[in-house]
Amino acid sequence: MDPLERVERLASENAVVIFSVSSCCMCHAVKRLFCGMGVHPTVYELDMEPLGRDIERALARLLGVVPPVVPVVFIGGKLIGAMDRVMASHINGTLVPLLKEAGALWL
Amino acid sequence: MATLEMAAAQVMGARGQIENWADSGMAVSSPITDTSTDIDTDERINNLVGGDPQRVAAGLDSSIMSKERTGDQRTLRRLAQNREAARKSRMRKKAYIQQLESSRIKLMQLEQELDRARQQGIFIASGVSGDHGYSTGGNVALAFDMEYARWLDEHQRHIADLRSALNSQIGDDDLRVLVDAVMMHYNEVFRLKSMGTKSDVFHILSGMWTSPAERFFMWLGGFRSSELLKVLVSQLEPLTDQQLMGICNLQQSSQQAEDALSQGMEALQQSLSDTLASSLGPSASCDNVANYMGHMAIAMGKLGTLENFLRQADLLRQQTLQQMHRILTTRQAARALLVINDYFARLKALSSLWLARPRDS
Repeated sequence: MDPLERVERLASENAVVIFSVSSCCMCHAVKRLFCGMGVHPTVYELDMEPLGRDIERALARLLGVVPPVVPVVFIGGKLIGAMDRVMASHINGTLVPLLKEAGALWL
Repeated sequence: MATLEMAAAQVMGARGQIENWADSGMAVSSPITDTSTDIDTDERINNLVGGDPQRVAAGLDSSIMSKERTGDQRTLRRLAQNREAARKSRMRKKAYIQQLESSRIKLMQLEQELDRARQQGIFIASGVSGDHGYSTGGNVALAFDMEYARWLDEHQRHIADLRSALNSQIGDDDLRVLVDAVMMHYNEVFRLKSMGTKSDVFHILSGMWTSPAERFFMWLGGFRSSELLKVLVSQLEPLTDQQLMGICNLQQSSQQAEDALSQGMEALQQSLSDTLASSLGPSASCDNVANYMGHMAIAMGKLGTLENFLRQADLLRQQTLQQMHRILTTRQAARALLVINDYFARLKALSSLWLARPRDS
């Protein structure tokens, strides 16, 4: 399967999907952010995934940057982006509605 | 006449010399194109030829002298002028060479100092020798501190304008202009910090560019947005219910973001510590040296992510300020900016008081 297709497929399977690398500290931070909000994201550690490299390249193309690109966050199948975009949307109040809409957050 | 030909040759020679120092900025009178009147150049003639002024003036009265003699006088004058110009040119050249010489000596001394310092293991910027990659910790930090101090001064001026405007009966539209100016100026400090972080992340992290009391409260290279919002809420009443909710949500989300970044930093510290620890071991062997270098390379990679954390922290601060601006009315935003400024001013004042406190001898 085309890596990009695989990304889209994985992203749509759960409410919150994070593509990460196990040794990446910024990835750790984004995971803690969601956990702190009571959200339980599905995490794919690309250094442990069989096609991790290809997925990472596909993500880089999607974001228009060069690797390393993680963490990359999808909510409700939609691409949110890296840490800066996640944080920006949390601060401007758009993250919580997105999470609720995706069924990742109640109340 | 032989004298005239020799004189002409001398003139051409002098002109050649003068043209080599074209940038000496002299006006050279050409024997061919000179159109100045004899009367206009009386003074110059007096200075150069040193003759009796009256006689010279009389001698240059073309209505009395024959053309040939006037021509001689003119040539003599030009020769004198050219000699003088050439003399001045030579003096300028001498001064220039002396300057070059002393610069060369200075350069040699600096290069020697640089070599000595390099041998002692101090990293120094070397644009001279062309290799790249080390930055002068000291100079870069100083540059940032100076830029930041300048930003603070400008900020104070903006705040003063805002304060007097708020105390007057200024309309909302005019007030908004002042508020927007302060917000725009805040973008400047974040831009400065971004550059500072790229040049010297440890300096920004150290907080040595700010006052001791501010440093005490510092988080990841700057202020804690969530704390600032707590201070603001108490000072901003009355707020509408919607505004209050907005501010409380903002305080909560900034707190969550701060906690997440803090945990990321802890993970970074742990990871770095693990890397360095795993390079320790029994006394050096061939294997261990390669091991050491490998671990150092990994450690360097991990240290690189520190810049990213600081960048995220500053983005958080910037976005929190912008969101606060969105939630509040113009007047409330004006007050908020004043409160923020006054709060930091108190921290600065506290630092000064503390440093100046009387101590037991």
